[in-house]
Amino acid sequence: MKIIYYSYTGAHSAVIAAGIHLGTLTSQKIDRSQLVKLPLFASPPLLYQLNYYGQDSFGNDLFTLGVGHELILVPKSIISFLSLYKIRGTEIKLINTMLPLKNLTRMGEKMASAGMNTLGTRLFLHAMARDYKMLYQYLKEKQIAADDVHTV
Amino acid sequence: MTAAAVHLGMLPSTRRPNCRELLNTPYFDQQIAKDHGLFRLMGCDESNREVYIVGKHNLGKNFEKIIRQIAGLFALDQKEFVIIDTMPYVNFTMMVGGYTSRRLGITFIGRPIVTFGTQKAFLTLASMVNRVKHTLTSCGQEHDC
Repeated sequence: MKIIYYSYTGAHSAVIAAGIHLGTLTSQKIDRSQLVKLPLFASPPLLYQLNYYGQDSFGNDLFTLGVGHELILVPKSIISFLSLYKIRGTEIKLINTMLPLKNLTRMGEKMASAGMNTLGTRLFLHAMARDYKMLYQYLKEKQIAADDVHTV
Repeated sequence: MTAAAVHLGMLPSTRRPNCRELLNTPYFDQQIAKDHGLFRLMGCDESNREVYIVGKHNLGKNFEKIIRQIAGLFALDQKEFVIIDTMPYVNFTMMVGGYTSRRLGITFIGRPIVTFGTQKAFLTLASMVNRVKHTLTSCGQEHDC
């Protein structure tokens, strides 16, 4: 299965989500240095570029994708396109990593996607300290679902 | 949608269609926000190629970039599909009419404007479609050889 974590930039919350998925980040409280050390974190410019992030223990390939403001249209198009080739939802999973985040974190990533990478990333990191657990919890639910599909 | 209709022969390719012809075309000024991003089958052309329409907002060339990357992930044949961006052929009148009709919901004002704009842009749009069809046909012949 291909799992694509997508967000505004594909280099902030999507990278953190991929890090959580791969076990690089744990459920414990995280500090900024851990996030900054993640490969591809806050790296410009990743918009609309699919980046391979690694493979999990189940053999699922992980990717990150920056979709700008098109958080609804892009995944819808991907699913619709793949359905033309009879590729089902069990072969790909698209996870919106912006969904569990609060407004300040979103704003940070949005600023980064709008070209204010340094300022946006600082704001994002500041707000992420608070939202990290929510993202972790959200992904835990999603990953369990992905694993279920894998073992069928 | 107009380009797809020309491709499929639902609209003439050598003259401007009248209002009735445009309005009778499937999906003309019908798409709503939730339809955007969905590949919708318009029909099959004379060479049995499937023709789809899809709304892509302001993604421009990035739409194709994303789709091609996804196709690459699943090792789909990149030559099996062609994505044609029709936005360069959309004039200001069409944008204003489309926005008024679809986004603002003022169909009785927006629809005549978008129809007028489409008629104005029609011949360039149709010639683009003819070019695409010609290219596809010649590529297909080379492929057969």
